[in-house]
Amino acid sequence: MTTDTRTDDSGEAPVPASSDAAPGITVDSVTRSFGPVNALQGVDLTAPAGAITALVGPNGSGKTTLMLVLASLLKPDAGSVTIAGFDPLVHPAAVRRNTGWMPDTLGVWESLTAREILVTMGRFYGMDRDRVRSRAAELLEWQELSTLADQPARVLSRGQQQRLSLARAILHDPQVLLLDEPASGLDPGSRIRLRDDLKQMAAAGKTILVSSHVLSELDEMADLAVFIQSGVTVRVEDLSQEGAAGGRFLITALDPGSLHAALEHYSIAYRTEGKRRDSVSVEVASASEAADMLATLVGDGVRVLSFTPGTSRLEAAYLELDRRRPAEGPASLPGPDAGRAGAAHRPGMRPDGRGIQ
Amino acid sequence: MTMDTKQESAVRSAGRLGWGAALGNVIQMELRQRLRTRSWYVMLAVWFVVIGLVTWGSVASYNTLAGDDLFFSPGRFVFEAVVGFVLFFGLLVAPAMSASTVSGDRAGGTLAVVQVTLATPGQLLTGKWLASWIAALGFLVAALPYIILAVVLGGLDVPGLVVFVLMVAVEFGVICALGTAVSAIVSRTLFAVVATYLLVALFSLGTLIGFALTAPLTMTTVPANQAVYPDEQPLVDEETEYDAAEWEPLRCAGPMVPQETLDTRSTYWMLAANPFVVVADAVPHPEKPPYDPDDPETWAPDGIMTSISTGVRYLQQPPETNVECANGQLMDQGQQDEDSEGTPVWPLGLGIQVAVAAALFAWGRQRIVAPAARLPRGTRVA
Repeated sequence: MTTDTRTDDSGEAPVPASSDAAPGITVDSVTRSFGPVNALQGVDLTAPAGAITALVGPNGSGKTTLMLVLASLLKPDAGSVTIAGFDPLVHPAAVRRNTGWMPDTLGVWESLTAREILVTMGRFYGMDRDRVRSRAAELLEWQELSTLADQPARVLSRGQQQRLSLARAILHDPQVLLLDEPASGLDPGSRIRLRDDLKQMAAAGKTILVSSHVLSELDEMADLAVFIQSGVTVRVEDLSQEGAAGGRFLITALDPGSLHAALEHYSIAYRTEGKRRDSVSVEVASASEAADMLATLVGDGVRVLSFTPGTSRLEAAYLELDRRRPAEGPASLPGPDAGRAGAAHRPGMRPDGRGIQ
Repeated sequence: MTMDTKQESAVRSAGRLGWGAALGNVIQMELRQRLRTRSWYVMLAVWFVVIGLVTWGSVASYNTLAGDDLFFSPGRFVFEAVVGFVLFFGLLVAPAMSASTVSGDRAGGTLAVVQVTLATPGQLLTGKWLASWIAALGFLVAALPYIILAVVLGGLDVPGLVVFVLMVAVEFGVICALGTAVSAIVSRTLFAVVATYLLVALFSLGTLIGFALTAPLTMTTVPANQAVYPDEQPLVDEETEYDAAEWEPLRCAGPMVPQETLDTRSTYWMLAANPFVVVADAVPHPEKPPYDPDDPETWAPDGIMTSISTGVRYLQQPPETNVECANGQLMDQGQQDEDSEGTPVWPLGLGIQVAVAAALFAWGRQRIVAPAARLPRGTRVA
């Protein structure tokens, strides 16, 4: 294991003995620009070990740029980064040994087979031939690619290439995993498997940072969500604390009439939802407000059948950010961005536009 | 304690990837991919046919030059023609072999995946260069049957042959290094290939143009007087085998007058950097076989490569060589022949090429260092 040896790599420069707590990822006011484009304008992030941290933000918000900085591919203009206790600028080799990176693009050598790709990459991580062979076979089995292992990678479907890419990322048993849109192109079964696998790896003490647009999916596995917008960290949400956030709640009662009456009695704005119009949705500011409302309704004799968050917690947080954006900025952005933000306001529509998948 | 030291050394050795393992891995990966693309085989087949045609053509033209009844060891002539064309086509093929390696990976998103491993930029670039060189050498191997044919046709010195083939291989290596370096420097594959072709053109044509354009600048004057020739030109007599070449000046006379001539000693180095010159000049000049085996005074025509080498070495001569009766001295023909052997120019030429390739290589390496401070315009890392 390489976790405890971080202070030993004194070949390059003295390593700050950060702490005895298991080191994950820390990002402190990182900025990075590409010419006139300021991709990152001050991102702060802490991804603890043993947890899954979600990196959430709209397209072009700097998620991938941040991932590249963390993967030791891009130098930040300012700010500091540590991964598994190492600074990628000072100890790139140590960072690379401890980091598995799954890019958002499919970097696949089309004429090499899946097995060859894994073996070659393992050799690049300094693994010896026998170990890398058995490890590759094990990972191919794990990702259900064994039957395709000796076919050129170009015959793999997008989802299969995605699974191969994940296998490649964890080939050298890294301490930190950086996954950029890992679920795109995966079928529902594979997504569930990915979710379970990541949870398992987090439980084993790995640090996992996942970026995705598919909020419902992140909601199911992430312990922590970091929202970035226009290259700035705008919000950090601890998802492990049950019910901290408000949002829209969906209420179904046996007798919709009495529910409507009770809501109107307390002057609570509601909207009828569902195909049979037997449900309503209400907006609450916090989880405790929701609990109070439920107690009141039940106390008033409304026979409540279900009382559930209408949107996922991440979605609620995301939409709240989106809603706040025009208010914070001097003017709402013209063009597609404004259109997208508008679309996100519509009830029932997912902000990622992927409801159909 | 012992545990700590053990771990420490394990970490340190794991932190770096040995050059042997890294290069072997890169080369294996690159060659595997090349061997699985059909285009390499198609190019190889086309190449084989074209070199075959060149060989046939040079045998035929030698026979015409030498006459049917004087067919005598066309080996050297055919061989030099074949090697010349192998080099020429190699200059066309090697950029295609090398100039897409890094930029192609960058476009395919696979470069970054390797960059996040323990392989260093230097290892990656060197491995890619060696792999493209090996792929280019495949073309030289495909031309071997014709080179062997030339040997079979006779008249060859084996060391000369070995040096020829080795130097062509070295030139392929230089071009592949240029191509690999350019592909790392330039972000777009197409532009990388074009830029490499332009570099190859700079060495093979640009050196000629540069030399021709700067030649007038080397104009100098040499004091010389008039040569006195025999009163009558001796008639060419079949029996005594007199010919015009033996009509030589008797002495130099008259006042010394400045004569204009070129001093190419300061510019010949440009030609030295030409790949053809490097290859031609590295080979020891062969003993010229007599054109007519019964008459040692006749010579077979020089091969193209030998002519190139002789020509460039002549340019090293002081300007006096070009002027009859320079400084009032009659030229000693024997001395002049000896002088025209000159000093080898290929170490200089190869040195210039290697210096340029090494500089570009260092620049290319800098461009794939990660974490990157600057990115090529309009590219994404991954």
